[in-house]
Amino acid sequence: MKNGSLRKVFPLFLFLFLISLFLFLIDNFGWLKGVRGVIQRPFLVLERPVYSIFQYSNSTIKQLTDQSQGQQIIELQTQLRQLAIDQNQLTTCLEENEHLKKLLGAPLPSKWKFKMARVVGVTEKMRIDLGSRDGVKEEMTVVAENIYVGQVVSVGERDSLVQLPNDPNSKIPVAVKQSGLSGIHAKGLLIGQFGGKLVLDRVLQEEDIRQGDLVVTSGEEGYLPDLVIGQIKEVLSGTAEIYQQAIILPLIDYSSLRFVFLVIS
Amino acid sequence: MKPYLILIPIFFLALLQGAFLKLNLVLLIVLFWAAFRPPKEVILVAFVSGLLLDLAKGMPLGLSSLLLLIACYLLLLYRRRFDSLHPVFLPISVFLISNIYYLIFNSYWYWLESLILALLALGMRYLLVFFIGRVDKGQIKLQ
Repeated sequence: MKNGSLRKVFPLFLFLFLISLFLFLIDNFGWLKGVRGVIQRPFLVLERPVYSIFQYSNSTIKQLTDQSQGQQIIELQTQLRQLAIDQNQLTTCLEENEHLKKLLGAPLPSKWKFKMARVVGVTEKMRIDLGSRDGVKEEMTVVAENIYVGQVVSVGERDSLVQLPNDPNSKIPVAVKQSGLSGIHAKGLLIGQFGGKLVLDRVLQEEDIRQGDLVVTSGEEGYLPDLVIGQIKEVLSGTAEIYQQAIILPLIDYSSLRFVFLVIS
Repeated sequence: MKPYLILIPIFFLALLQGAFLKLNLVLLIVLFWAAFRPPKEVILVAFVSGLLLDLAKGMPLGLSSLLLLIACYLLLLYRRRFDSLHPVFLPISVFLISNIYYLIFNSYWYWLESLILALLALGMRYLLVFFIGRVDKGQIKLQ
């Protein structure tokens, strides 16, 4: 290729570069929300069936590859999830009961309100079909079956992006609860890892965490409290380390969700 | 006008990327285009592909266009200095550019995804050479 041909396209490159920059800036300031919402609508409409087909084919492949045990595993996973939720609810009820006994007459915390959203896609982040016109705001919590799904990190006119716990940029302050016992046993930081893994970090060595313990949001740094995230799969304790780590198994497969709930207040 | 039909598969790939696909195949196609096609066409395809990708993924409008334009312009510059048909030119370019792209978008290096893209680029390059060879031998006739 001759030097001249690249020089010839430089004005075009510069023009399109400036247009892109202009679009990026005005979109960042939120001045493009209305127009963007209209242009984006067909994309949302088309992506929904694409995602549904993906979910359907994904589950079909899973069933085909392990047809004999597949159903049983799904049932057991559902049971396990339900048990974990029940256990957490029971523990919370016990704690609340204790608190209420002590703080009789004190005002109860306001009830959370939910808004149902449809999942449009899940890649690095989850995309839902509710946006600013539906009252969605950044840092809103997204849940499913009392399980923490993520936090809204970007809001468009008609859609929003949700950061999942397994996102490499996600750092959630969490608490560890032991099976059958009330109260918090350890505190730590749940960090998303490359490849969708979840690691519990910053747990002091003297704190006793075990396989099967529940990991819930601690309610710090703007996160809503007591939402289940997962269970400890393996404790990685090194005696020379200040903190101990653990691998966490999420209670839910984020890519299998079709509907989620936004906590709007 | 025909070369711009590449935007149709790019549109569908953008939809897949918006729904579930983590691999940035749009980036791969655009870089592949940049390695072999005329500069004007490359620049226009990069700009439109970026807009499509941003709309499909719900990202800030113009960000992908900016990155794709810069990536393509760099590739256009370097393809003058190196042989763009050399087996390692495209895979290395794809690997480096996709890593930077992922870093800007996700604040994280995605080595594995970039490596897969680079291998795909290598495969596509061999397919192209095979196809050109067939055309030369007259086994495939282009209109």
